[in-house]
Amino acid sequence: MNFMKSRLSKLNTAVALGSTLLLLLPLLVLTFHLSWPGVWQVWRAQGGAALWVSVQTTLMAMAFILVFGTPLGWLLSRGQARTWRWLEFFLLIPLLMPPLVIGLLLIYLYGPYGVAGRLLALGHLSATNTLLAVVVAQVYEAMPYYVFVAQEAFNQVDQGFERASLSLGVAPVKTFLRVTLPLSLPGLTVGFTMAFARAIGAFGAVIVVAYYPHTLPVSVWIALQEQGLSVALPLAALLLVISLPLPLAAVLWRRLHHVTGTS
Amino acid sequence: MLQVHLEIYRKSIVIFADLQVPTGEIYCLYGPSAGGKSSILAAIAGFESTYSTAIISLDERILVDTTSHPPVHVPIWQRRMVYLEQSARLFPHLTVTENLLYGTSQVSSKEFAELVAELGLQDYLTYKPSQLSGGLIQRVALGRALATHPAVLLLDEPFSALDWHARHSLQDLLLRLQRRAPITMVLVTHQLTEAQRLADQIALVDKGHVLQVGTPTHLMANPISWRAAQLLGYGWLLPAPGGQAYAIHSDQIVLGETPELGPTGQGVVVEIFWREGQRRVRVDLQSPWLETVEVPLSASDGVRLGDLLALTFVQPPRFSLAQADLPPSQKTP
Repeated sequence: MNFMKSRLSKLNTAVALGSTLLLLLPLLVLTFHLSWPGVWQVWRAQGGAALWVSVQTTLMAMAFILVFGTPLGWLLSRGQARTWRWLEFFLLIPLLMPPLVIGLLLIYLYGPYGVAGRLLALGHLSATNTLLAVVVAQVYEAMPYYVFVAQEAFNQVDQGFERASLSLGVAPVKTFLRVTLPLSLPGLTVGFTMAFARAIGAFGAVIVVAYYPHTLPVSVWIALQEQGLSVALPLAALLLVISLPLPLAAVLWRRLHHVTGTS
Repeated sequence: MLQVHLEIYRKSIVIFADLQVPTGEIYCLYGPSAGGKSSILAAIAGFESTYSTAIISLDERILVDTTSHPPVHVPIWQRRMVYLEQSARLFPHLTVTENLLYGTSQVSSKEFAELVAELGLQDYLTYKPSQLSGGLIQRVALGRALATHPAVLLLDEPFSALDWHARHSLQDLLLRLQRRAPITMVLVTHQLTEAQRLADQIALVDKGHVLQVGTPTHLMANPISWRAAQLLGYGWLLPAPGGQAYAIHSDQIVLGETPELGPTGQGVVVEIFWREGQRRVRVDLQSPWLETVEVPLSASDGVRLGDLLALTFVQPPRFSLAQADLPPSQKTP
């Protein structure tokens, strides 16, 4: 029996290591194939403008997601009415929808002949081939991720803490800021960074509604189409350098936070 | 005075409560689990709102009135009532000091130092709740509540998860604090010893209804019904003249025949045992009404198995009982 267990354990370890290698292999390939002297040159020549577009739009999209996604996550977590459970179910659709399909539907809604597009036009705004178009596409691609993680983060907060705070004479908004928010912050941070990675890397919906101005992911695709792998790869590396540190740092912080037992 | 009128209709239970809690007293809702005590307390605090009728007022200030037009409903955070649950729920991201000061707007350093000293928390002020024992957590929770100067403190079995020593220590602390600065408290407990130790008045709550209210001494001497007597620890019935019955409590049985103190009887010792630090005997009275009773012994009582003992049931309360009221083991053949 022990022999069987030991064999199974070894097999399991081998499979786990193999899977890890499989997942990290593309990253290793990137480091081998990247010509470091040429990287700076490509970044300076083609990466700067796209990077700036991506950073600007992602910051705007994340601000929107934070302001509107946090209350939605809260209500999905705390809402007692059955309506919220149905809403939660329907919100899975944008989460699961392929980005390319999101982009096509956004054209119908925010395009020059769409309902939202016409409303925007009244304010001399356009959501086609503009920074706003990129932001809209990023929001649609990333917001569901933040909302569901925020909902789970709020679920993790024992409502007894909120009851204690209210009972001590602290009003609901202050209770939220002083108790709920600090206690759900690790989860919210992970949700935020996941949504950030999703927004800055948004491609499918973005390329449909905003070929211009080029975001970094769109630039990678154009470079691949027009100049080949040698130019696309440094731009892809730039995208990784921008998008990965924040989520990785957040996950690391959350783990350390849990170890110290302060959550 | 805190006045409460509540009607809560649930599938499993109907809760009906009319309470008058005098200012500055400890008022205890005592009874078995699932009897509706915690629901009454939660409704007073504002965390239970499924009532069909509720009128709650504190010193003439109406907090809830579902019968008025429009209905009155003062929000939880404006009631000046602190609700302390069994699980103290100290804020885990704050230190002891931050927890103690959480609901306060202005506390002088002198007042804070006095509170900390009274609670014995001087050495733990920089600790996080995860570093504290259960007893210390409840001390901090109690201090956090008192620091806000509440009009009423609502305590829902706050000490029941603690060990015997910590529980008794906190009960003593609560009484000390109460005597120093009287504050109205409503305490829910299912432990009779706790209710009797702390309460100025006890309300016996059973199956959603208040059976009787009184001081611990009054209730013990005058339970209004056999069910009320049972909740107070009376364990047996003895036939009394006029178709009535005496309720017998083991702590009110003495050895020897003293008829002027109450009815007497005789029985054989069938068991000698210890309970809660006290030596006791089980005596078989060989009566169809009262088969065996437990009798506490004093240190000087020399009793052996098989001894024939004379017993006096000291001033037992009397009831008129229907057969249906009797427990199966005590129904007359």
